[in-house]
Amino acid sequence: MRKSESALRDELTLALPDIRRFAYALTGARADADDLLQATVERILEKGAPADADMRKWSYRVAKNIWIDEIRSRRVRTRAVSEGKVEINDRLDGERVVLGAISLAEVNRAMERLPDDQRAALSLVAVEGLSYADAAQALDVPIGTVMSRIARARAALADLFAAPKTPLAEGAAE
Amino acid sequence: MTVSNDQLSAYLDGELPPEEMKSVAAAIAADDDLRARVEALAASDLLLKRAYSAIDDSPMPDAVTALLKAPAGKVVPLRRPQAAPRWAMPLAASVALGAGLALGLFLNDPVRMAPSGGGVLAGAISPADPLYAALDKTPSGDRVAIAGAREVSLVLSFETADGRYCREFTLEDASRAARAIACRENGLWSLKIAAADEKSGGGYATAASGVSAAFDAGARALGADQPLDRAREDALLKAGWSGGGD
Repeated sequence: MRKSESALRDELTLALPDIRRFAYALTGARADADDLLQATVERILEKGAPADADMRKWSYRVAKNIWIDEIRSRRVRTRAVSEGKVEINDRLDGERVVLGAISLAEVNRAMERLPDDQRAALSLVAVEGLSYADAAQALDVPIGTVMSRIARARAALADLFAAPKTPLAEGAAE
Repeated sequence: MTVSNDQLSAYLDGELPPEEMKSVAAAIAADDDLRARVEALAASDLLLKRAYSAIDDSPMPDAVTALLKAPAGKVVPLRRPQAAPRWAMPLAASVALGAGLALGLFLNDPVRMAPSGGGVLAGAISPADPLYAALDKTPSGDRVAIAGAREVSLVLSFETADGRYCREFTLEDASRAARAIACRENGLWSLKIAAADEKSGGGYATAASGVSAAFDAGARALGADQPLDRAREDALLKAGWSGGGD
């Protein structure tokens, strides 16, 4: 059984903000996120979805596949020239983390360093709030794989955002 | 106890078996280095969430909404009713680093406060956090001062449809206040929802009534509109809230 045309549209419309946020977490740029969102919606409208599919999870899976297959490879080519190395000075300190002063660019720079699979898993769980079981379904891998990808991704990010002890350890700012 | 990187990360997501959640929580409470590590892991999650949720505020691209326009004569729901408001985010996979910092996080404007010893992680509140003791011991209607010139007020206790005990409370400092609900899960208090209000003068700002409405809706969905009576709460305070979801 496939979803009807109108069910597809209705359910996609509801899932749209979530797909878009996930696309943003994958691509790191609004224009790319909206491109990926559009490609995902087009693909699902064209190919349909099983009647019992949870549209949100189904869409995450489609978006991730499109990203891996198409958008990411295109971007890597164009970016290879401009991307510099992350210098020691780019390391982020704990105070700025706490104050929310870390910019999107800095978050993206850290995310860019993760392998695609880790970035996708972390985006689903940390940004979209999926359980490991749901993320495993969306990514088509065992739960244990999701767990280790996320652990590795988090550890890598935490090191990049490494927090010197001093700013937090100084007393409360009242 | 040695805690692996995988365990720490899964703890943060609330994805360990109940017994392991407890033992990891205990290990974290007992080890400052471990706590610092979990806080660092948690902080990066928070950064991701904040950075990538920013796109929620910009309108959907026309090209996409056009794709989803129903053929003439059909009606499509226009938009999702406030899917995941940032100020009332479920904290299950989210994070807060000690009550002081937690308050800042609720407010979406983290304040610089020393972690309070213990910490609130992945929703699960560390037994070492003063907030935990306040939830355990304080009758509804009472207030207790905790570290950092902050105050916890217990509002009410209730039971969810699936039999977990929960408490609604406020956490405030001089200028801000957060409303929150914590429930018993796997033998620990766990934050479920939180919303922040700026205080104006002595009271809460009413400008954020949308925030309050969303919080109230979330609270109702959990079952907070049917508080436990005093006798029942007293019994639970004495019994250590065992039973529901433990």
